[in-house]
Amino acid sequence: MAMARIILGEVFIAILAFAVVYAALSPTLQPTVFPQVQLPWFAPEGNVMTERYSLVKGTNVSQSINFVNLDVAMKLGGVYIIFSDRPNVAFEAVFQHAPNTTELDASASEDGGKLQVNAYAETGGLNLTLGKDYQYNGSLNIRLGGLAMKLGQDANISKFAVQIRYLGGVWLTINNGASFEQLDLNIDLGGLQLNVDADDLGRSGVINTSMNIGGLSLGVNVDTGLIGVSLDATVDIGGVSVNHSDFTGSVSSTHCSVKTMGYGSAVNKLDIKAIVGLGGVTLQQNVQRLPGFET
Amino acid sequence: MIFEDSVIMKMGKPEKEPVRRAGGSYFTSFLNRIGGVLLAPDATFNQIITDRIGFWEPLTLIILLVAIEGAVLASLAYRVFSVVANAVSPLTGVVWDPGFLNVILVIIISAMIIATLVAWVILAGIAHISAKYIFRGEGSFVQLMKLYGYTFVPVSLLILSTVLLGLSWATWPLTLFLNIVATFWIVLLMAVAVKHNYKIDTGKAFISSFIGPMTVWLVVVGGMWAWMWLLIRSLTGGAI
Repeated sequence: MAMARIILGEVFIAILAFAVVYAALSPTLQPTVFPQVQLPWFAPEGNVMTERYSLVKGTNVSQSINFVNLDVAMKLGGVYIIFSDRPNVAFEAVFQHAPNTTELDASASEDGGKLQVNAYAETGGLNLTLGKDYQYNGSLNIRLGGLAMKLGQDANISKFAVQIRYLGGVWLTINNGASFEQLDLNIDLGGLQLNVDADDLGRSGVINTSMNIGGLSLGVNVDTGLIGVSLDATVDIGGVSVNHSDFTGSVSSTHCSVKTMGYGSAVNKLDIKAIVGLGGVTLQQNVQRLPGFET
Repeated sequence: MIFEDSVIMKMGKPEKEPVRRAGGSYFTSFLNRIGGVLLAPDATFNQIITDRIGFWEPLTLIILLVAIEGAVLASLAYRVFSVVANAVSPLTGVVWDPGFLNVILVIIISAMIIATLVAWVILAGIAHISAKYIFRGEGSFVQLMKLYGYTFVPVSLLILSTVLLGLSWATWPLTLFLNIVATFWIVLLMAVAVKHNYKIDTGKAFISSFIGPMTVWLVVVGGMWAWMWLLIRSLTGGAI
C-alpha cells in the first residue's frame, strides 16, 4: 500500500511537471485549431455538389450583345467574382453546395443589345467569372455571407451595387487597369476591406460604402500622378484613423475628408465615400489580407 | 493502517518538523502523503495530524497547484486570443504584441492564487464554526486549514483535464468527466478532513464542510439578489 501511495504521488508530480512543460511550449509549438462545427446545410469536404452555368458569345449569347445586366442573389454563403481575359465569356457561374440544398437557379434573356442574367443561389459557394468583352451593370444581394471581388484590367463595370443584408463582409481589390464607374457597397453588420493597389485605372470611378455596424479598412497604394484618390468618411459612433503619408486634408475623430497629393491633376480619380454607424474607418498604405481570401 | 512515523508520537517525542521516514527522504514522505490523501484519506489525515506537519507544505501545495493550473489556462487563453487577434487585425489595424502572454499569465495566476487562498480561509472558517460551535467538535482552525490544503490534491486532475483540452478539443468529454470526479473528490476529502480534525461523525463533517458553505453561499447570493431587487424597486418608485 505504501508503494502504491508513493507511486500515486509520483504520478501527481509527473502531471504537474508535464503541465508546466506544456504551458511553456504550447503557445509556440501547438497552433490553435478550433473544433469544426458541421452545419447541416454545408456539405462536408469531399461531398459537394457542383453546378455550372455559362453564357458564351456565339454559343448561347448573340454576337450583338455588349452589355450585361446582372441580378445575383444568395441567401447564405460566399460569392467570389473575378474578371477573365477569356474571349466571349459573358457569364460563368460555378456553384458548390451540399447535396440536400437547393440548386443554382440561373436564367438569361436578351433585350436588344443587352443580356439580362438572373441567378439565385440558396446556400453554398458561388464563383462568378465575368468577361472582358462586356460592360457590366447590376446588383448582388447576400443575406448572410461574404463577397470577394477582384477588379483588374479585364473589368469593365458601369454600375454595380452590393448589399449584405444581415451580416457579412466584402473584400474588394482594385488593380491596374480596372474600369468602373460606380460601386455601391452596403453592409448591415460586418466589415469591408478595400485594397487599391494600382498604377493606373481605366477611368475615374466612385465607390460608395455604408455600414450600420462594422468597419472599413482601406489600403491605398497608387501612383498619385495617375490616380487621385479621395476619401470622405463619417462615423457616427467610433473612430476614423488616417495613417497614410500620401493623403492630405482634414481628419477628426469621427470624420475625414482627405485626398492624395496632386489629386486635381491626376489622370483618373477614385472617390471613396464611407458612412459608418457604429464602427471605424482606417486608411493606410496596405491592407493585410485575411487568410483564405486572395483578392 | 499503521505508519512507522506514529511510533515517534507513541514514544512521547512530538515532532515540530515534517517527519522523515527511516531510510526515506522528505520528498518520499511527501509523495506518501500525496498518494495517501488520494488512496486512504482517513489514515493519511490522521497521520498528518499526528505528525504535526507544518503549515508551509499545504500552503506551498495550494499555490503550486493553482499556479500551474493558471499557467495552463493562460497558455490556452493566449492561443485562442492570438488566433482571434490575428484574424481581426486587418480590420482593426491593431497589431498585438506577442509579449501579451506575460500579461495574461500574471493576471490569471495572480487572480487564481488570491481567489483560492481567500476561498481556503472562508471554507475552513465556515467548517470550523460549524464543527466546533454547532456540533461541539474538538479541533483547531489552523490544523483544519492544513488538512484542507491537502484536499486540493485532486486539482491535479483539473490540471490534467485542462492540458488534455489544450492538446485536442475532442477530449472535452474526458475533461468534463475529470472535472466532475475532481470536484466530488475534493468535497469528499474536505468532509474526511473535518471528521478527523474535530472527531465528529461523517454526517456532521459533511454538513460542516459542504452543506454549511453551500448554505452561506446561497444566503449571500440570495441577499445580493434581494438587495438588487430592493434597489431596483426603490429606483422605480415601487413600480416593480
